[in-house]
Amino acid sequence: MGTAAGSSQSAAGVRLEAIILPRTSPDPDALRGLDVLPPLDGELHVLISPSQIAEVVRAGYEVRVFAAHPIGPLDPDLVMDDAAAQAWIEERVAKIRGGRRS
Amino acid sequence: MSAYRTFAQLGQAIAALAGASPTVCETFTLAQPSVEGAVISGLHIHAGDAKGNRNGVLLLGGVHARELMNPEAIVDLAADLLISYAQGTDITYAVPGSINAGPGSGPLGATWGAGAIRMMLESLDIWMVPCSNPDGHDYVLSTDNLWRKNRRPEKGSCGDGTQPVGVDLNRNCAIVFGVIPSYGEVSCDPCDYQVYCGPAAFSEPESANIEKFLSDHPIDTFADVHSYEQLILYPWGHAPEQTTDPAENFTTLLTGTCSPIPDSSYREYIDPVDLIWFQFIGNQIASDVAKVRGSVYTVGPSISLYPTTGTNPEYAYSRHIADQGAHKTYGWTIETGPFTGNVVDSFQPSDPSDIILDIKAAMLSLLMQSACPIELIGTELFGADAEAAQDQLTGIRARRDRLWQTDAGRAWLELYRQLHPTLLERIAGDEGFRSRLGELVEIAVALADDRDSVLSDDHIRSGLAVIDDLAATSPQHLRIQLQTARALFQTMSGFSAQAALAVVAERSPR
Repeated sequence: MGTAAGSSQSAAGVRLEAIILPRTSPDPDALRGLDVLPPLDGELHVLISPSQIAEVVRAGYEVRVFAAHPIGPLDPDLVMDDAAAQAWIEERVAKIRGGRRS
Repeated sequence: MSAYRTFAQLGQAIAALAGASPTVCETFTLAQPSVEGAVISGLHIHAGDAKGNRNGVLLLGGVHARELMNPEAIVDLAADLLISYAQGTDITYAVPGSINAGPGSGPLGATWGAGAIRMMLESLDIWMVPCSNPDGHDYVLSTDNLWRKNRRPEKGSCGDGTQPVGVDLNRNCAIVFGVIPSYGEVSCDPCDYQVYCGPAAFSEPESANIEKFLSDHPIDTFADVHSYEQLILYPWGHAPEQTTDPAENFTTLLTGTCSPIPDSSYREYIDPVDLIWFQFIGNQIASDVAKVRGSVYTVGPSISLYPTTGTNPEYAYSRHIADQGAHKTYGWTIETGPFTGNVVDSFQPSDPSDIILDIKAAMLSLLMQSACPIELIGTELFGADAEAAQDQLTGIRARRDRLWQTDAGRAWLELYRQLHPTLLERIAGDEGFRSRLGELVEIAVALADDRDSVLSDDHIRSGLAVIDDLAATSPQHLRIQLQTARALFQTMSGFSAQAALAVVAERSPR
């Protein structure tokens, strides 16, 4: 059983970050299912899979890719370990308990 | 930098804060566990002894799983508030070397005085839910860093053979549910990667929790914190607003159509007073955020980001319109940012600490705006007499609503809002000032209750003393307006409450 997204984005192994511009007689149906992000300089800003790019281009759009993001977990270096989480707690709790009111 | 906690670690953090501050706060749990069974907890901060009539504020984070900074910011803010309360210390959010883009020429950074924070905490019911989508949150950490929805498995399979999974929890609420304003922002397709609205409004336990919470608690202010666009957003998201035809409102729209609103000229009604209030408070928040390090947040309706339906803040605000017995909740989206060149770094910067300062400033600014010093004094005056306190509160709000109707009245209310932190600070730290302000509130209540009573020379002297006292400790840019207030108040001897209010509604302090 597939585990994730229910779109070809999850199976492609990489997500491409792009802006999409209308070209000739664009068919907006082709934009369904894209991961639409906040607009970038007023343009449609998306995450898109390689296979979706082909569909969108065929539907009359130009796709300008400017970043590729491998599909995977958050960079493990960015996940707080239990020791750091506990240190955060201890520092704050000490300040609260050291105060006048608690 | 290890920046982001697991859902379990976030829960441990708020439990520890509650354990260290047992007289100030406690943890609470939302009604339903997540799809995968996680119990969703939050922190309820309610310092001091005052019971009843507190304004309620709900701060929500982590609705969209990949927006990892916001749960951190909410937990951080809780800690900052509790430390300030315990130690009697100011809170300053500043980044050394940044340019102060805020108004005035004060020192770099945004500072809230210890007294103002204490008064705020003692007058509000603050509910914080740092992470309302625990399954999605941990899926981002373990499997897919750009996941957004919850983890609801749907039946069937998609074109590539995968099983559809997940509902966008910020499209699943009962406000124009299942209507598709445009491609890409809402979808009825379970295979949509990010914005599937679900099979029915509140089909998901994580969003049904918000509906249940708002039904069970009188929440005045609700903020849902998202990333990444540096925006302060207010309703509406599904259509441009109009302020003239209350009958043209969302209760007339079909829902679950999976198509756009049929009439492309449709405009959603918003009460003009509410609209001005949203704009004013939004600008105040943006101003406070700018003081931190110069970040520019833009204030506008949700649709200015992109069209949406079924969102949490708009649902919160819509409740009192759909059901006139429902409590009125001002619903906000705080979109933190900025975009930093690519989407991963924007949602999950390796060092989010500066952005988190901005987010905390935005939330603290909103909290400070939610604490009304006059209501606080009034609540103290009437003590345990809940009925009298409620009458008094209703009276204050009725007069406020009348002032909202004119340009001059709104200018006075704006001045009052800008004075909130100073007033709260003085109430906290100066018994004499607190007593004099209390006398003024008593006079105002007595005058309002008796149409034959008028302002005496003694009343005027008391009022002038408070204005002078306040001016001495207010920011420079507010003193001129206070001088205008002084000059106007001096002329009001012999005025009834009605007459005084009429004058104030016509004469601006500017």
